[in-house]
Amino acid sequence: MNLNIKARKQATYDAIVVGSGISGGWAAKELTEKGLKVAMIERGRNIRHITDYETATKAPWEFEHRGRVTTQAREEYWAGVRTGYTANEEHRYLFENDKENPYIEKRGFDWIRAYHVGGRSLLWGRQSYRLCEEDFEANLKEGVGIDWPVRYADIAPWYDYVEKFIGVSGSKENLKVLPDGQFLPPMDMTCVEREVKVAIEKRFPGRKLIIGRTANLTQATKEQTELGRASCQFRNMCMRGCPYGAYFSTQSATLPAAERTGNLTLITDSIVSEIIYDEQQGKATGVRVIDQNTLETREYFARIIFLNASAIASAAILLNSKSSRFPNGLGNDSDQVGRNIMDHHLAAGASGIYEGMEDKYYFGRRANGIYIPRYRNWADDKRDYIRGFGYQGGASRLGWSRGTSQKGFGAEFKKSLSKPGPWRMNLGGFGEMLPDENNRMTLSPDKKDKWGLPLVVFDAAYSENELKMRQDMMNDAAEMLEAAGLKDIQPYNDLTKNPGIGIHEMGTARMGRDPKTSVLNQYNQIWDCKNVFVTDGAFMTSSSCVNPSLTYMAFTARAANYAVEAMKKMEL
Amino acid sequence: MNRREALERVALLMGGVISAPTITAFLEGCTPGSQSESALFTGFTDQQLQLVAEIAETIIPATDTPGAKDANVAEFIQLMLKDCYYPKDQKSFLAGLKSISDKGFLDATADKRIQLLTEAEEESFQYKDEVAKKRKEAADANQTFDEPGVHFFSLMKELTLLGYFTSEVGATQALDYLPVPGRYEGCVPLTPEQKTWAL
Repeated sequence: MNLNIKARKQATYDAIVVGSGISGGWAAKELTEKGLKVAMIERGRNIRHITDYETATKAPWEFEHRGRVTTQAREEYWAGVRTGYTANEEHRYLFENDKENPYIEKRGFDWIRAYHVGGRSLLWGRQSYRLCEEDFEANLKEGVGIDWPVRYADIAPWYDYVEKFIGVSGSKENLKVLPDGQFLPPMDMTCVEREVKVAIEKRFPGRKLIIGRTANLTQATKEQTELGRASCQFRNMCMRGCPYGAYFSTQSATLPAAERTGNLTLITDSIVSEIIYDEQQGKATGVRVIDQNTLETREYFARIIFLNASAIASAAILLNSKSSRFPNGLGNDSDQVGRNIMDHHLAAGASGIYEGMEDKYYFGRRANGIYIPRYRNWADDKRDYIRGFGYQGGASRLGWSRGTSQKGFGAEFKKSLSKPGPWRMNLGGFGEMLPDENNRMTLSPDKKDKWGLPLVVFDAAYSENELKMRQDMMNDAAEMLEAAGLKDIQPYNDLTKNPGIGIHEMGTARMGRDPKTSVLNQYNQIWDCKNVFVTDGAFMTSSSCVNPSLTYMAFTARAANYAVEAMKKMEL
Repeated sequence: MNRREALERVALLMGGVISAPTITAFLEGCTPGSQSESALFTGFTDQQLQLVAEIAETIIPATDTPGAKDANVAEFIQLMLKDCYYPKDQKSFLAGLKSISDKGFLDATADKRIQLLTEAEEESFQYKDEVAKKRKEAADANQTFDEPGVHFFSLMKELTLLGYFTSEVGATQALDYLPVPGRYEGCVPLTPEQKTWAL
């Protein structure tokens, strides 16, 4: 008995954070900095900053297949290969082997995972945009889904707070549709991007072409260098892990910040199977984990729990946490857990060739592109669909690989490929996806993974609204490139892509104003189990069309602050 | 839209965050195909390896910079064919290799070699057009289309360019290789001595 009490005490913390990715890292940082003893529990292996980035400084010739996917890897990374880049030899070690981690597709879904310390914060595209006032109000105005319980003004100071810490490079633009933030110096545009910007803004009043806002340090602040971070070296190999800590990740920023408080315990290789709910106390008391290597089960206890396993995995944990009070899964009184899956739909746009500027080039490899903020269904514009899209893209000169689709060989051909090719510009849309209760994931009643946990079953698809929007994403891009004088314009709208391809899964435990229709309240707390907070993409009530990670971070910091205040008042 | 364009576009869609070699890594190679067939190809004979080396050198000859042989492109092609391709592509590659061998490539003069490869390239472009036509017909008739193996010369040329320009001699001598630029300038004059960036 005494032994048990002692063991339980050793496994007890003030707070447990489930997951160490972009939002989990933030939860750990905020809670430890506010003095809580925190256990951050990660299902995968440890990846130590710098020393474990095994491919970060490799030259092209040091990759046996020069980056290509082998037939064996193609089978192992069957979901990853659908993206066209995640299974690549250079950074495959940071993505999940799908064969060992299968899931079921009633309808196609691309679930791209990274089970290790840092999660997908090591792999993200780093584009960092704020949602705008309209994003938080659109559901209510249009009668779509449910209303956000939060408005832009509530989250704006937390955007400020997060941006200052992570470091976002960008330009101030004074646009209501894309609020400015706390920016480090913007990156440069290429010669052709500058020309196209002028042409588009002149021809289409109200549209703007700006440099992307990215979480790469262009001028590291003292706060950032103190964490061991340095400014971007413009290698553009971020996805391999950055030895300079120049882009924001758990490893480069939130983890060292949490560790220096002395309040963090990092527990790896431990898959959280469920949250333990205590019927008497009417709250969660801890989590049960399975050791991914030994299959041993263990329990950890805490006053509060932050669930940051990523939208799909957090919903799976809730659905798997059954008790008399919550027979359908923790916090699932509304039957909304696992529903309303959203992503951003992409692979619709256009590219073209810019004739001229042959005497211009660039120096360095920019880990960023250009951005055209949403202009559809904005101000006086009205379309036959609702919401909108932004464009990401850029203009660069073709390299040697253009040779594979050209005729020719021999000395002259070789010489021609040693010189930069024509400029090509691409504009690719990122569109908002509406919440729909019928887009959902569930747990398989009979199929289990190698740890005995039920497999996730996906049943989701794009709606008519997204399909209509994609026509504009393609046609507008072609029209803008044409107006800017580009030639050989190739519009595209690839309808073979599944939801999930944007790797922006959201919505599976949405926030709301009413426990009957939502899972979380305005502070990301589970309605009837208030010491559990869900602050990864699961909380999103709508998706906006901008990249979501910055918003997860801002809501996590806000929820952590609220949680600690509530604990002080003995409300939690 | 072909696979190359699709992937390069995806790369650009992602905010241009993917480096050039990463894009290259997804070009037409490693085509998915019948996975039930066991691997057919285990390696070239000495004569095949020599033939592949000579063809590669005709595509990328040594000039004021090293050529395909200096970059061991034949050995690279052998490895890629074994690890990254399914039997249908291995079969079409070996068939094409036999055909060009039967035409006497190894014993041919430099001019004759160029002529043989020019013919092979013409054939590869016709083949691509025919396959594209059949693919479209199948799509229009709502039928599934079994992608045939890629043409010998298309694969030979693609792997030669990949093997050469990503090799140490190719990347550092035929191109400008700069692993750590340290800064970014988006719009600079192109100097006469500037080569294509390797990365």
